[in-house]
Amino acid sequence: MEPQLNLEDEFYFQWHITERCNKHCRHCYQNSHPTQELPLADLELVLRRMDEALLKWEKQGSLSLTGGEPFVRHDELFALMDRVDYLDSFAYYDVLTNGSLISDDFAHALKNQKKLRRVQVSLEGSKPAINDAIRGKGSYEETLQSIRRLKDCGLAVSVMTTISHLNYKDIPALIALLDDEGVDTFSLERLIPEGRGEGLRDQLLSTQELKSLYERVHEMAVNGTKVRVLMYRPLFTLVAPDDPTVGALCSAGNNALTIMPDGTVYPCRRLPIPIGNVLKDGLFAIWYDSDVLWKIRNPQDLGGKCRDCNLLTTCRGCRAMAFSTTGNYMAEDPQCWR
Amino acid sequence: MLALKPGVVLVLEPNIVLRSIPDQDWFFAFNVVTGDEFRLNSTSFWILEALGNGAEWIELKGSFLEAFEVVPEQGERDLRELVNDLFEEKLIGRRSNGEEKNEI
Repeated sequence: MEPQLNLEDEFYFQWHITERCNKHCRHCYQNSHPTQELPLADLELVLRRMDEALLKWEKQGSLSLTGGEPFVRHDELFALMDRVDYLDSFAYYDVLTNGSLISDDFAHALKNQKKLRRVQVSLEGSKPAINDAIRGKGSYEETLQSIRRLKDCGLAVSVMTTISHLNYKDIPALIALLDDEGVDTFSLERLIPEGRGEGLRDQLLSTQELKSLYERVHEMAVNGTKVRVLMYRPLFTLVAPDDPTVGALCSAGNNALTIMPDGTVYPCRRLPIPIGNVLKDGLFAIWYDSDVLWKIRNPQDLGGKCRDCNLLTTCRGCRAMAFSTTGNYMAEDPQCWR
Repeated sequence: MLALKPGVVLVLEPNIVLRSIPDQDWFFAFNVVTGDEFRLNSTSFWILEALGNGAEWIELKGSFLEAFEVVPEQGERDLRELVNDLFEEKLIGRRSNGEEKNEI
């Protein structure tokens, strides 16, 4: 049984320890200009700041260690996992990777990490042609091999897909494939047209396309697919407003922060507005005094149809999507079909 | 008990920030160094905001009585009690403006 937390008691950190990557995916929210990376001593200081904050807030921490591709810094990655394994403030962590650098040795080493919940890899479709058109030639086979390698080691594996016109019709087939492969969980993220993904702006789904896709995914999730489909994202709640496992208020400003390789903090990786630096400002000053976070927390500051929506307590749309499409992170979610 | 003498200026302690969302009845003070957070009522929040730039007791009392339209004796008692609580929570401190006089 995977560790689960009550959202009320959880605080989530997404930590990008590098922006370097051995892939060049078309939809990536990253641009091509990697930022400065912190040495291990400073990474440990960042971790100490997280630990202090979690203890003060009396929250259980969850952490995603990612990049870029985190295995390009495998020494630092394993060193950080070793430390988190012995911090009481963290319940668990995930590693988000493209999977291509996970050797047998790394897979076995991951199995020995005490608080590693899942390894998340990305796959964009059920066929090489769909996936490789986005992630590069040969990456489909590479990802499937890494899923099998991780599963053979007894690790829980999650697959994440970024949805756009390039792959949305294939999502049901992809879920069936993941079922066959014994993948544990599956999640979908909407394409946010920023970074390299800005070039795919014309591939965003229309509101009706997104509605149909979410309805189909929900139907598959509740009707017998073995892979657990994670649907706690804004707009999913529109599909099944009375189901507490479907949809969730965005965690930006509520119970999450993203930390970049140089310590810069964003509300969310997909909402790249710097709100401070962990090492220079400390997490308390950022969390308590960021104008951006306070604006996000205040539903009265929402624009358009989000402001008067009766699902304010469970949705509020995606602020990153609003920002990337309008320049105003409090604007209505342009993909909402209500 | 906080001594409120003429010439003593009450100030918001350094590292304290104030944030509110009045529509949600959220009034908070935060210490951005220690991470301590304090959920306040709107009156305590008003006092802290009023002290943001420092104020002598006599000025604070005058604006409090005016803002809350309370009778002077009761208003002053309530204000003293609230100010004392905020002082004990280390949200406010005092500094002298160099004209300190007898305690009131």
